[in-house]
Amino acid sequence: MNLAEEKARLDTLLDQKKAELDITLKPKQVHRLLNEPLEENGPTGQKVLEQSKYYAACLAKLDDLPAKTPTTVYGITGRGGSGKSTLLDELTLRFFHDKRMKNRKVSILAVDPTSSRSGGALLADRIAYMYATDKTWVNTGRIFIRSVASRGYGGGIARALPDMVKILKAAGYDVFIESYGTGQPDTGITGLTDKSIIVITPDIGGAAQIAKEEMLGVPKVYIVLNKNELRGAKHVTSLLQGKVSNDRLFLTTAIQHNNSGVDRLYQSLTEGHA
Amino acid sequence: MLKMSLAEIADANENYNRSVEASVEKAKKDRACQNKLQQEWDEKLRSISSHRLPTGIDVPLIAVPRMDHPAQIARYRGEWGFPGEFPYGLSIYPRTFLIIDGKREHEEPTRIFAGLGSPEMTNERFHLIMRQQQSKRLSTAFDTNTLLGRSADNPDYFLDIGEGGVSVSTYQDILTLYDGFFSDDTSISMTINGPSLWMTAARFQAARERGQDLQKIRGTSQTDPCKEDDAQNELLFPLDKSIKLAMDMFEWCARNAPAYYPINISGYHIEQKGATPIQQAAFTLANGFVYIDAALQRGMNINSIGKRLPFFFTSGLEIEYIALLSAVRRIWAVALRDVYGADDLAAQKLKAHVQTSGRSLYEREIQNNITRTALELFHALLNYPQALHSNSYDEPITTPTEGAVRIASDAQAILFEEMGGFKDMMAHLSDGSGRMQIYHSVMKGVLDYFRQIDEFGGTLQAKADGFFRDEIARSSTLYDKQVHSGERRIIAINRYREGREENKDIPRVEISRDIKQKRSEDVKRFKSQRNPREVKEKILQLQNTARKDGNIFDITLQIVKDVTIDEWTRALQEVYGIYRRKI
Repeated sequence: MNLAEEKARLDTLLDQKKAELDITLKPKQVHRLLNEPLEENGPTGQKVLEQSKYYAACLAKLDDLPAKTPTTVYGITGRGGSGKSTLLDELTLRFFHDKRMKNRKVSILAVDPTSSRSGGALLADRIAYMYATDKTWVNTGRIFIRSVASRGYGGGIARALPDMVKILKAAGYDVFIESYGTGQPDTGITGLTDKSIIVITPDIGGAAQIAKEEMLGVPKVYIVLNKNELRGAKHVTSLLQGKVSNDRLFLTTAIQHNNSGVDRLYQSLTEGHA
Repeated sequence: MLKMSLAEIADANENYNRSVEASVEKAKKDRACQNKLQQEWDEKLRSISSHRLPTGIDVPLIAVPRMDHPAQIARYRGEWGFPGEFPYGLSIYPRTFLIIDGKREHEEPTRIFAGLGSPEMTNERFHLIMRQQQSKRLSTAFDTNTLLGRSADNPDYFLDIGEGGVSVSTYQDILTLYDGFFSDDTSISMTINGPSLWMTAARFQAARERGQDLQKIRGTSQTDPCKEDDAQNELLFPLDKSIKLAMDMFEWCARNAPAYYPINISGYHIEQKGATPIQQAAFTLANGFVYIDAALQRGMNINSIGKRLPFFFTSGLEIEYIALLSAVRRIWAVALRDVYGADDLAAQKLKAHVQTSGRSLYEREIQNNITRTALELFHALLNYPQALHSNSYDEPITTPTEGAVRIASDAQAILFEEMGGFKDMMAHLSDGSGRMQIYHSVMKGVLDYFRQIDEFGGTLQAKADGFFRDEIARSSTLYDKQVHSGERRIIAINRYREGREENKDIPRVEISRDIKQKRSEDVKRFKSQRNPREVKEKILQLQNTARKDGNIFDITLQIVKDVTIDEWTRALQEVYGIYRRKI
């Protein structure tokens, strides 16, 4: 299908302005729509301009749509190697198995830093998504994954991210944004998300380091101490307990299958879902 | 429970090295000691008979050096030992490879690896190989789908069916694959890890049905989850669960199929992934001790464990391979005897299958690979392995074609039967000074790694921290750099490259769409002919056993006729989770 045909098709769809857009927008179309904001600063010149004009029109229409399915946007941040991807993958598995969620779809936007030297991004997160990329689930159409390069945009966020979230929400997806860095309030992804998770590990350091973690001070942030089996976990736990309340603190070993800490985190995140 | 650290094993080996030096020093001074050594030596020499070769000369069955002083005797015996004698530096048996009066004492070591397309095609290839070799030894390569526990009716992986190995999804496939080979004297090797319990159970069940006695069944399956974690990534369940499964089968076989080797501790893949020869030796031995510890924790006896853990190594062109296997044999023997207390000699003897290096083969001027493989075989033979696979020269570009498999198999026959040396006299090149140098370099390198691994808190922790993978990756990068810069010379690749043509006319094995389609339909038909309620019931039994931490091999054997490889995998993944690849 060429661009013009696809445009015509999407135009018709969007013109109907029907609330069932979340059903009619198939993963392939979401992919196409998501490509638009990504290509915005791409190298293809005139075509890009035309695409972004069209894309701006699409977005405007999405804004007018009443949301049929309420969706939730989750943000998950933490330093490299803290186990964000594994944790997110385990949460996704629980989502798949959760009977309350059987009519819902989930999407993952994984933001990777763009190397200032090579101009490329590793986009390696999906290697850790074992369940989220498992064909059994992919074939059900309930999972959508997209890697996003930050392209030098600060705060662990990509420029296109807000638009991408808008599109996914319109398509009826819950959204997980996985982002590198420590997720500083204001500049990071917190502005985009309904619920924020910060992942830290026992090697974070002593009391002074923990005091520097700005996210700990943000109300309602879910604090996850992952790799809870490692040495030093008890000490860090007691330091954290002095700073945040127990119902916001989760001790997990994401790498372990059926880990009870991850169970508790999942329950807490999805509380209130009928 | 009993758990030995690698530092203890390194200590024990260094103690042994010191004891060798001490015995040499003593033999220099102590008169009584000198007499005893000389007396034993003379006795040994008298016991070695000679035989006449076709050219008319008489040679002794074992090559022994001339000794001018008892201290030399002490060194020879401490460093190498006679063939078949501790520390097994020369050989674990006294007469490996010898042909005496036209007869071979041991089975021929040839074991040619094969597998492609459908079970029918591979069965045909097996019959071809068996017509060409004397020993009844088969070795099976499976396709990626099978290795990952997927069945051939899965449309998502249609194109992978039968590529690079045989596709096996059902019990019926096993009956077809090994048709004609369900006999006690046939040894079947299966290169499979993730779904190894399913595959072995299917073979056992088929053998039983064809009237074979499991007490006598021969063969081996790879089942080495540790090296998967280091190199291959083809694990289905988390590493700890995968080790548990391997141990379920290991324990079961020790009682019920005592001649079967359910685990093969494999260095080959670690080396192929980029490890140096010494890293291969060190990491593979470290993995071996993980299995010993796991088996001890189940209350098994060390003598029974030691006998049942064979190894699988590369033989490459690098000089380390002239003595690498000898070195790992000595470290293993000292560890088993002095650390674990194995007093049964059979448990101290590290048995090894060796394969020539696939990594050393190149596409350009492809027939050079025949020479490379022959020389690697020669390196391997200096170490007296128990089984051998020689690669086909066309492996860089295709699943081996028939002609190339024949040449690879013949290369072994030429070394064993045609060429004078290995068939005539044990250890005729084995105790030389070059081998002694390398022997000690490798041992030292391995013990150094043992101490490094120990600092992580043991092998499993070092793996979890990425040490093995990072070390392998570092070596792999270095290797590529060396090839690129020409520091590592590769003929027709970075030396004498001018005027070489790419090989365009090499025949390739192609698995047609029709074959894949038929495979997919065969599996669909098998599945549809079952009673779905019964199948569901059996899968539940399997999952319940897993939840109650029962023996998975035992239950797999009971359900394997009805439950396919993908159903088995999926059912256990629901309980255990999926293996997370390391990046």
